[in-house]
Amino acid sequence: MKNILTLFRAEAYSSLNPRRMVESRSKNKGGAVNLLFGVFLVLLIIGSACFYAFTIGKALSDAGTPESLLFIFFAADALLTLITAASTGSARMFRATNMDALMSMPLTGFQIYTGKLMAFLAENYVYSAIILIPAFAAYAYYAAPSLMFILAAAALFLTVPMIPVGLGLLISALFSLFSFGGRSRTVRNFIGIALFVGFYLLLMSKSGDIMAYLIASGGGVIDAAGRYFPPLKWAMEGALLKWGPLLLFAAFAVALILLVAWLASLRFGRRVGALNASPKAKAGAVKTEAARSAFSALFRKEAAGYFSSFAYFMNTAFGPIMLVVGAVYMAATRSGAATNDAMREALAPIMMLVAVLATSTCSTAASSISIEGSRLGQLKAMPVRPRDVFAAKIALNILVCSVPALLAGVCLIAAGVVKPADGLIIIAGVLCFAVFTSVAGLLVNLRHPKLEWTNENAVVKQSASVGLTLGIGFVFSAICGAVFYLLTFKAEVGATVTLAALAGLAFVAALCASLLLKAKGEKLYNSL
Amino acid sequence: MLRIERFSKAYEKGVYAVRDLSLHIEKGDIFGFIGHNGAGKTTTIKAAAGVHGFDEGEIYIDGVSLKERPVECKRRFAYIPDNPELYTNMKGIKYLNFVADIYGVSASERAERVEKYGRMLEIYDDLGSVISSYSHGMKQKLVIISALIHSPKLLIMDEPFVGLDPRAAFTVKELMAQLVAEGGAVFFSTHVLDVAEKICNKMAIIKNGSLIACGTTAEIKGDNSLEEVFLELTE
Repeated sequence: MKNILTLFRAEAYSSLNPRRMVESRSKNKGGAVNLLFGVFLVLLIIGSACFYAFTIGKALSDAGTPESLLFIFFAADALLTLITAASTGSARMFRATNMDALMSMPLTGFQIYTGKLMAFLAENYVYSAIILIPAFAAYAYYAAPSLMFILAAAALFLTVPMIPVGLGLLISALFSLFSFGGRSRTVRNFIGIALFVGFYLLLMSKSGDIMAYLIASGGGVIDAAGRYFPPLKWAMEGALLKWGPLLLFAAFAVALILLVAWLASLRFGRRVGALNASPKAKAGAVKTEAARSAFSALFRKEAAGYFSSFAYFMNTAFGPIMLVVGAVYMAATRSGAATNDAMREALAPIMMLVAVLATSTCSTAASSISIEGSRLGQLKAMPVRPRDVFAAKIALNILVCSVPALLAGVCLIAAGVVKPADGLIIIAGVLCFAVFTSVAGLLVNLRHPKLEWTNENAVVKQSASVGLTLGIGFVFSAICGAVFYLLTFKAEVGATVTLAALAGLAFVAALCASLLLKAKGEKLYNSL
Repeated sequence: MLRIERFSKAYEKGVYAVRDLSLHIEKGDIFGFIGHNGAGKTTTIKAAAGVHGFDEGEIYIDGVSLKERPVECKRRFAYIPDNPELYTNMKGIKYLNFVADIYGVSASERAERVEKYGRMLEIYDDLGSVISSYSHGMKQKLVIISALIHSPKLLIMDEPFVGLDPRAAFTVKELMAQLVAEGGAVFFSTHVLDVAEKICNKMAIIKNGSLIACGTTAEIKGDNSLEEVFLELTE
């Protein structure tokens, strides 16, 4: 146990210490600046999450089912954590760069795995806090439970993330059995993405049932939770201060984590050896290529790096994937067939907000400087202008966001969910937002890079710049929500005008970010 | 070819990694840069390669200011870092194509040079494999080929012999001599004093960020071995 805790402390120090989240330029400015930056970052993100929690909470409270808010936020937290754990678990648990050193120490596989698992869980509490604490606060505000709710909320906060972490790590451990490098890794990645898409489609197809329960009485919500996943019902009952189910839920969560740690650490040394071995060299053809422009070479480098890493891809692209899969599902099932014009008017701005939120989760540019790591020196020694380097990184981010946005827009029009003109404005608005989030993300990463990392997930999950960029995206979408509310419900203008205003807002934001990058980017890059 | 004038670099205000350093590397020079760990060798080399910016002093490549026209300067030299960190997801040949594209090397020239240097360093047959399957020495060889692919006139290298097998180290020394014979120059740091003594015509010794000796190899070592002089000067 002592060894597990020692390892946990070391791992958690490197992943959770706010001073480790940013480096280079800011490290010279001392810990206080970084600490203040961390506090600002957390407040920014929690502020945005509170906006959503209280807005949704009010609607559900008016509908008479405030506990549905907890159901939605538990599910959202579980879904995000599950995706993260499943896609990054292998890299975190088996392929970290410090694995050689750990394996040479007198530690068992269970100790190493459990120490790392606890650090991973602790890290996820930070992310879960962003989702769950605003939800608890909004529920407490609208449902006014007794003071004992604080105790129940604390127990739920500690135990709810354990289930998706445990299940996600179990999935990643199973996948790691098939990881032997080379082509099998590509096949595994495709299977992983297919499973993710399948799971998401299943959720989409069941969403109608779930929504029906949510609209129904409070008892209906709990029944719905129990029907799909019994422990979720126990958690919901725990939130309603039923201590027996709460204890049952906590015991289930802890038992699951321990079981995963035991199962995943079986034959640990062998698995670590197989996963960290250099892939067997397959001598391909040595073929030089026709000369390309520097920009083309840089862009191809960015794209090759991005699409070759499943963990990095899933960490940054799950939002656009969910967007496009959802839209294709709507088109395939002709979801808008029974929708009238008034409903289309109401749905259009909401669809744009959903697309903006999904796009804001794609943060390749916000981690693109960090991912260079110690290779940045070689890149800087090459005869390329910083603006070419920036353009390649931004172009990849825009590509990853814009293709799904275009497809989603076309599908929404084809599904009859929105009018064609509105659909085109939605596409234009989301494209402008994609430019904004890419440029802003790059700018933030230039200011706060994380060039030293033990695995590539660290540049996404443990990076202040990615967090800040996500925060900027959430704040922007919250502003869009406020504009939508003012224009639709106060000024009572039509959907097309509202959409045009939102697209205009995104365009102005993109323009401002681009001008800022032009003014500051090169200086920041040279100072790294 | 490379002129460093009154170069200073501080990572923190008032704490200098290198202070008031001046060096002049001319055509035909193989210039060794020697110093203990943390003396400021890598800082100087990274600044000369345009990796690190600097506030005090000037660095000129062929008379062109690195501060004012960095891209033009960088076309004239190649930099080999101390640690061959590469894009491991790429195949070796893809990486070489990437570097050749950046330097604008034509298809025919890159094909010829890849084959020439690949065979010299005995890595040609492995260039079709992904870099993640390479050993440290193979990565180092790949970096060396990528540095030579655009026929630079100046090579700036940080500990170039680390990780190379004896045959490859010999080949690299031959390539350095060949570059110099063709009117180029080499500026490199090393801890291997025997190598520096044998192949450098000029050298400089740096201690705690300041230059303590600079001149021809013969001037610096006199009748002693380089090891003796180095130990005495850096004591």
